[in-house]
Amino acid sequence: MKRAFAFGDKQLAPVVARVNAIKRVAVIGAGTMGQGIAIDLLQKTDYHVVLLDVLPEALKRAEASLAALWDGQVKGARIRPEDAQLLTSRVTYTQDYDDLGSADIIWEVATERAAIKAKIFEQIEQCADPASIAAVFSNTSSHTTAELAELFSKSAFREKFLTVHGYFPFESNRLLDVMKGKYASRDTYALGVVFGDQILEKTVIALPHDLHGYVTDPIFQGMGAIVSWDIHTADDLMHLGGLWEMFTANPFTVLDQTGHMPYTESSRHLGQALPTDNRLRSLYERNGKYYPDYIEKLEKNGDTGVNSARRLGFFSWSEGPRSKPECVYDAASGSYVPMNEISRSAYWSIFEAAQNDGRDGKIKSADSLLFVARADDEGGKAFRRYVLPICLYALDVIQDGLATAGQINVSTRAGLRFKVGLIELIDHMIGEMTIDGLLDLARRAQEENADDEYMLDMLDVDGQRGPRKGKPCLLHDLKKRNVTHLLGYGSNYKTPVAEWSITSRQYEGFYPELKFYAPSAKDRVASIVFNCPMRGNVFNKAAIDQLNHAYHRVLDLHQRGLCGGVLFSAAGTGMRMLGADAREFNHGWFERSKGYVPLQGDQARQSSQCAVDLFRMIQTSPVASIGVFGEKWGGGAEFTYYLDLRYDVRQEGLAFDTLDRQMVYGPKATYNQPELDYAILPGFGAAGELKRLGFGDSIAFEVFDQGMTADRAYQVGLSNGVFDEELDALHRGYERARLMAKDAPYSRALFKKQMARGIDDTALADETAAVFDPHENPYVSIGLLALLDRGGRVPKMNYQTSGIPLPGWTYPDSAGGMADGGPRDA
Amino acid sequence: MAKSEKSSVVIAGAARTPIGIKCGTLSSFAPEDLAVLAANEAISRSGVNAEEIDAAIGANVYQFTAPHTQDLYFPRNVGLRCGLRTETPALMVQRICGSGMQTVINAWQQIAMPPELDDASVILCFAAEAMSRCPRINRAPRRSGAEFWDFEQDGQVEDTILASLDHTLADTSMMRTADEYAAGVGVTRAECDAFAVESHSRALAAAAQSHFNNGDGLRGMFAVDTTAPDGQPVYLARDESARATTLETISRLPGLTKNKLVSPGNASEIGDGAGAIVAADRARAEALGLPCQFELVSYGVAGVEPRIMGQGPVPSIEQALARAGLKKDDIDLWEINEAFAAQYLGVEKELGLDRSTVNVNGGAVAIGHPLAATGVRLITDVMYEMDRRGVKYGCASACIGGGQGAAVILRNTAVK
Repeated sequence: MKRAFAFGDKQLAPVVARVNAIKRVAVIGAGTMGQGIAIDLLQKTDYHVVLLDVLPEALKRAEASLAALWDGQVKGARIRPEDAQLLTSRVTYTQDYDDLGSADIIWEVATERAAIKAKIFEQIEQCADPASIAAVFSNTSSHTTAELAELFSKSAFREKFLTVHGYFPFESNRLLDVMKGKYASRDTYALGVVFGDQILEKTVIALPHDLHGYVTDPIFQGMGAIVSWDIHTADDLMHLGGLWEMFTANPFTVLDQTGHMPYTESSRHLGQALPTDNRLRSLYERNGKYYPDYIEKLEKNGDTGVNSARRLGFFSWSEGPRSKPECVYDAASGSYVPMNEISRSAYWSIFEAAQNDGRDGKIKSADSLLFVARADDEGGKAFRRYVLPICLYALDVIQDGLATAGQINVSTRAGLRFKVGLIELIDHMIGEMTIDGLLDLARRAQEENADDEYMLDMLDVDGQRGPRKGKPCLLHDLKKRNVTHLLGYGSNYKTPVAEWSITSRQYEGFYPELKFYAPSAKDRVASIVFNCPMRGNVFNKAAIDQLNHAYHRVLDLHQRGLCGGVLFSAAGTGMRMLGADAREFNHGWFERSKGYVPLQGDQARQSSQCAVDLFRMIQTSPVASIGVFGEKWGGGAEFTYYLDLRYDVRQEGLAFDTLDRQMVYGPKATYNQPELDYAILPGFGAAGELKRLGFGDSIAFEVFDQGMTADRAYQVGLSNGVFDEELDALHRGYERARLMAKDAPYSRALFKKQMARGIDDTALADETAAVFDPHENPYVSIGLLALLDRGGRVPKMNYQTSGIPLPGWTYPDSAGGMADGGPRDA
Repeated sequence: MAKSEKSSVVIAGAARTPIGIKCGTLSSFAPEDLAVLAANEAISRSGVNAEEIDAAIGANVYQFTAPHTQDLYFPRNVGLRCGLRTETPALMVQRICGSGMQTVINAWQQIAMPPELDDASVILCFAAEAMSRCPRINRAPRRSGAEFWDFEQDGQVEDTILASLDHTLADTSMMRTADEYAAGVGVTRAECDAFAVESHSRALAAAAQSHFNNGDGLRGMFAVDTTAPDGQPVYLARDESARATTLETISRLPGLTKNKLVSPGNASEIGDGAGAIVAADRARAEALGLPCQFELVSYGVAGVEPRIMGQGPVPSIEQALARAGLKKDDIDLWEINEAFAAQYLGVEKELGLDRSTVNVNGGAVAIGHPLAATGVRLITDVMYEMDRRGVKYGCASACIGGGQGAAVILRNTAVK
């Protein structure tokens, strides 16, 4: 979205105002990351982007790259030629630091080397005014924010400085780390989070405390580093690097694709800078070396990956755009040799587990990982030797309050593309083995590695040696508190919906696919924003589970008198809501040659039932609801039919005119029900709900056959408000929710009950008697005073509903949001 | 230990923390923690060996800050944690907003006494406030007998900050006193708001030119660079609540008092902070090789009508001037606490002060008023600014709830 919204958080309002005043962002470094950031900013905002580089060739390459991108989009009819021209005109390519002077944000993505960053920061201090600049960002893989902030001489710049770390490719990777450190002010930190979250539309891992390399880099770096010291031959590189393909990818393949410099630079830095209580310290410093000799040799030879002169690195790479590894580096001989397959007999557990998972050579489940973890073969030993320390490190990070369980899980899933999130794996291991079993597994690994002092340090769980001496592993604390899982899992599909908090010692909602804004005491409006814009905010299993958990929190707050209304919306430009995630519910893309493999009837029924039950709860509950959305498809549109009010943002774009046979720019439908084209019918109730809303066949058919623009929907009464600007729609929607939240709970519940019932005059008379009886409706005396009393001050409404039966409504079991443990609002 | 023949007391070292905004960067620290930081810095700046300090005098108004702090032991604990000898006594003083200043006055009095009465010649003065942690308290009376120690669940719970803003004996509140005083001398709401904007603007300008930003200002402030109780690093090097604001924003805020002169935008901020001063007999300081540039000249403490407590600085300044044989125009630089813009403007009008010499780096409306610490902050800031400008006389003063005022006059002996 081009502008940010505070969702009723008054403390956030000044930060949001500053974000919305941003007009110009300067990016220092026109390499791959700098280009990606520029593209993302140009596509998602109306900012002017300044791309600075000291090398004119780099600027030329960037300019050509962006031009090619817009060209491709014009050819693909995704944008018009005049849009491409506008995008091009919004970029300044420069070598002059003076061009940074008027930037609101300066973002350095030029280098990992601190010495060069220092020179860049010196230039920034000379040309920028810390009082007027919103923030300075820097991308880093291994430094802390404080370390980099200290490269500024002025405290005023340190306060405005954050590390902000994106993933390649920036414009299409959803993860973004924002790390505060001790120097950055709280406002700067809040600004970085809002900017990343609402403007860049990323899933932000917000870290208030410094952590070298955020969450992901120590894990990814650790994956490579921990095996690297044991690699002596080509087979070692294949086997040990390949071990990580159980989770994601061979780190050495990835390093060849990104280049080795970030890895070697990071290792050098981490070897010097990691805190003494970091159990992975010894991965980055052994007898004065930051990484093994063969890596140093490759670096010296310039053989740092697929983009090196000889296309050599840990592998030799084929020519052409889809380059593949051809041979593997043999550290013993210094030559490249054919890649041998991993020994099936030595690593039978990995092969067996992969077969059980049903995909050739690929493990994809926690069950399989656990199978390997317990096996007696080389695969099991390797898992215990190399994977367990990484798991223990993740637990240390939680224990030290540096990141949360949910953040680690999302980071490994979205950032490192783990098939099973690291914390989900740990939870699964605890669930299957108990905490004692997992501790014993670590001790078994210690026995297996008894002659390796480094490994013994990394595998310590009892706080008896090494960097964690005196700090027994978090597992001991969990055991003492009878906590058997670090994540809370949704009651429908068992996807993560909550995380156990080390500070509050209870489960708190954690939603990678949603954002939940708690109601303020004054407004009593919660906001739930679907927050996966890169995937169009589809309704997948995770979204359903998270929405269910979040809404149970809303009901809990309502019962306590703290929430009277909910604003629903969708993040991302266009505020799009797509429907059910067809790929997920149908277990992946089907093979064209085999045709469609039918979804089992029970599964289809279950997925519909889960969603409809949830939507019906939202529809019938006494909590007022309003949706503010743009373009809606299928289940995304259906969801809005269950809300009390719908506000729409007009959409425009290119569409193919079937008569004129060309792309035409004009209004786009905001209500789209394409199901009939796909030989299905809406599973979340569109047809029935449109009827319930009072629309006849003609309107229903129009929605299904033609789609409806916002204006047409408003004309027929499907939409209750139409806006040109997303921010305007949110302001109005929030204000409407705030006013709706003032309704007395009894009356709102009765209103919904009557609306759902239809005509029943006897019931109506009984209900009228009840509504005026203060024993039935304790809110009536205060409510009517507001109407009748012209003289005195009307007492404030008490919204608590505990112990007061509301007509037509029963609160669900408070444990309904989470599989075991219930929602707890912190 | 020989003292100066004629009482001459110098400030050998002074330092103050940045003032944290309420529930901001410093809010996880207890008053004692903040005071230790300030005291250690002042000791370091003076160069005195902690074991040479003869007494500790501390001030902390809001006690029993949450959670589980031992504010009752405040001066003693600070002394022990700063390395003072076990034999060195510690005293707590309390004059509400004048408490910090009172620590220096008490030290002065003690040092000035003849040695046969009291031979203390180097005294550590400190004051701290952690208003972010001010408790809400249960006022229910205790029961007798076996239930004496039972906690009364249903007792009336009171907010200690809100409760202390009322002065029930005088049937007034701090806001009302400022309003009444200022209205009485003809201050307008527009003047109050404009002053508030100016306070913020001066504070921001001072921060931009501070020694943390390669300038030479605000050298009385040291950066808090330490570890919070939760183990995480904390850093703060500016007064946290100063912000860019406009007359339009401030004037939109509602007036809270009868004459509408006091609003949330032109009242001082609640804050967390501490300050410390090493006061020493001149002879002793010279013998120890401590800085002796700044000398305490005189002080004044006076009572005023409680309903217009904001007037407190007026008689106390006049008293201090008279004692020093000085006139108001002899004072080159002033630090007068801005409990409220209205209250400050009343003092400015009554005394006819030249604002260009008053609160030149902003005041409490912008940077905050951590009660006890304020007095030490005022003295520290005026002293360092006097040095920066090369001026001779400075005066720090504050109004005090209940109807008092305190003032201290310093001389910069480097200026003839």
